[in-house]
Amino acid sequence: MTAKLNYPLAGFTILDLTQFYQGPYATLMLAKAGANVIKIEPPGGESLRAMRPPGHENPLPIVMLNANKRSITLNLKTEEGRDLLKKMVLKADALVENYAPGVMDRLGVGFDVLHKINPKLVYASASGFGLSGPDRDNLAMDFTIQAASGVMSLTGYPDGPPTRTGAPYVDILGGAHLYAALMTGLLERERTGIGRLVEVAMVEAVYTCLATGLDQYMRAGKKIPGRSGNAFANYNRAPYNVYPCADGYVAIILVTENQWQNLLRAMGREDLKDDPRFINNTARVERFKETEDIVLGWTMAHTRAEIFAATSKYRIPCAPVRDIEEVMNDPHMHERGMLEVRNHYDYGEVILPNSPLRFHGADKVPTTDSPRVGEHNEAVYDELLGLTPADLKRLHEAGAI
Amino acid sequence: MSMPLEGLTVLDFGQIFQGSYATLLLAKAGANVIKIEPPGGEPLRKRTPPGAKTTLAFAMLNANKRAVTLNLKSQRGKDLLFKMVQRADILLENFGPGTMDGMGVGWSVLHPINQRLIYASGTGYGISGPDHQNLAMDLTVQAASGIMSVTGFADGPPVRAGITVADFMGGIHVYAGITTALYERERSGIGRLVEVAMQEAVYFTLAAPFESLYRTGKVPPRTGNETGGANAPYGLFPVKDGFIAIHTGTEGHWLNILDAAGRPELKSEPRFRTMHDRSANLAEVNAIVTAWTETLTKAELAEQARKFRIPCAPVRDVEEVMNDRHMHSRGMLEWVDHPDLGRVVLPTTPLRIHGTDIAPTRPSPLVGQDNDGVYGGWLGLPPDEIESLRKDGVI
Repeated sequence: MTAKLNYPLAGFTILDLTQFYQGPYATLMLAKAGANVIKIEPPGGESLRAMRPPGHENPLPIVMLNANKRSITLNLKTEEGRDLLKKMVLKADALVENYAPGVMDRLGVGFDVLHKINPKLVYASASGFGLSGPDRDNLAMDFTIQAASGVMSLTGYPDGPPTRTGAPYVDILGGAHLYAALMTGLLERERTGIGRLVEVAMVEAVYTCLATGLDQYMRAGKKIPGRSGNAFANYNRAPYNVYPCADGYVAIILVTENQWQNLLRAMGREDLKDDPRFINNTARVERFKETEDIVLGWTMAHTRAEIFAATSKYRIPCAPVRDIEEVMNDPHMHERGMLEVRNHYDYGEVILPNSPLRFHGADKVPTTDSPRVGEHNEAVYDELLGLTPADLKRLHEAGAI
Repeated sequence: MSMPLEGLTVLDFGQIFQGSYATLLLAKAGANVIKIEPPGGEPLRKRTPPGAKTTLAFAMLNANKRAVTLNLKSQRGKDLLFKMVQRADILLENFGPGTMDGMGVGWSVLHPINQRLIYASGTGYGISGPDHQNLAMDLTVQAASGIMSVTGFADGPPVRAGITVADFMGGIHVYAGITTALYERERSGIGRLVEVAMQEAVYFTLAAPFESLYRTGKVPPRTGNETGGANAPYGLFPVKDGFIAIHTGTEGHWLNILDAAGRPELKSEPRFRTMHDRSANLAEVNAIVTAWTETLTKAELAEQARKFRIPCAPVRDVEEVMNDRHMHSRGMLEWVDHPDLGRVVLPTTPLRIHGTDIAPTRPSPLVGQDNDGVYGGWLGLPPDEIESLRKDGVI
């Protein structure tokens, strides 16, 4: 890629040693913004590849998270493999990895070593608990971080157990923060000429998201908020819930008193417009169940589409609870180019996402399919290091790539 | 002090969570963030209980910012904004799509005034497409995006993630978009309109359920705290004082659990050898794990997890998290004397750039607290003009 392309990150080369979700999400966004992302995998492929379903080369998340990257293999457990990495580091702007803390150091290719080879290199590390502190070496997965971070304690019902969020958003949230940290390091390098070690811990990336729960804790005089299902923390807002309707569920949330008046109009219950029992949020919270029953009486009698049409007309925040098939086929995201239908070599016709980062006026990077393990060994090793096919054959036999 | 974003000025129309999170991180990285609110304050301020000036949520999200007031509905207010835009690097807003355009201060107006300005927009559904006018709040985006449909138990309703995940996913993506555009501006000299839709920012969180849909052709059911047979042992297990979450990521982790549980003789047991075998004998596997966990406390189990290398974590409540020794020791959390809230725990930033400084915490400002400093000190307006702006409701 040349710097002339109208992509925000054209001309920027990244060595991508990431695996699973968190790291690959960060490098996917880099690739979609025009960076030259070289995915460096151990000869057998990164760990997520092994979770392939029968009949496929890769699991779908590999396909989603590794578009627009080229893949090469490299065995960091060999001296020759480490030498190759050090040579590539001289040509790269950034290196991204999400191994457990200390792994790269133990292999002899940690930040301290690489920084000396190329002081301009930005080194980005993502982990569960960070590179320092007493919990650094705790093993971390999305599920365990949901537990440790406090999120799970707030998800679910008061009479049920803490509940996992079925979408592993901690990984993706961590990945987005990693991207953000990397770009910040890169920006600073523009001024100082020095690349930094930048770091994100998942447990920290989640913390500020607890704002509402922490706030309720303080308001209630340091009383730990319980789980409240789909209602607001401590049931402090009404209506604010997911309501069953004739063909599924809808989420309705009121923020202003004006919206309550509008909801009464939408429901055909203007008889209640001056009723002191429901006149403001405080009153409605006091009569939580009665308020909920009024809304339920309406929603149960209508379909999602009818309820959505009525709430849209009266400008009340509402959304149908959609299943993932509806989401994947969402006309809105398809029209915006966030989703596109690809003919992928492993999955046939498949819907794949683009980056949620949208730079108006920049060209869209044309999608290329996620690579096979080591698919670009020849091209990349030639381009970066001038290695010939004969060199690669020898390195392959020596187990270095 | 050496801060990565020193010297950058941000005009922050962020409100509630999404936009304010992006600008908080900019401020913590050293940018000069000027929070611009309507004279009555932004909506999050209105959620303050009677008698208080600030909530913890507001204090968390607005540290290290200065606050000014500005009435964009008046022409003099617009003129003031145009003046500020000439001197700023970034403008961020998370109003509904079209709001800024409707007031005559949208991207197409501001870009000609300062071509270097980066204009960042955070919305629920984006600024184009058939759904762009849909009202968006975290709860409704959780519903529309599919997150809720995969959370909860098979026999129960869809369940919200107990945090405002869509807002914060949106916020961090807005930050990511801004820094990317800044990096490009270093080369091109031109600022961009940068846009993030919350619904799009959470799409990738559903990668695993999407795969299940492709594999089975069916929308996957909710599976509570389990994986529906993909992994075992996996889930919440009881301990003396709560629950612990265990995720067996590799076969090695299972062997480590057996060591910790004092059941090494089961390592060669064919019924439990692979993930597949254990899923087929899930009740037995869970019973083995439970027999081990229920004799221990959270703290004892966490200790064993470290010793035996098992991915597990206690389910912690917000009080435990707020007082977490690990995050306090790393500087992610700190005790701050806040003028309205007293002594509280506030987060710094999860973006850690080694070798640089994080901006020392300044507590969140009151509405318009920095009107004199910004309009006088920065824009250079004389005191009588500021007074007249105040009197006329422009600021």
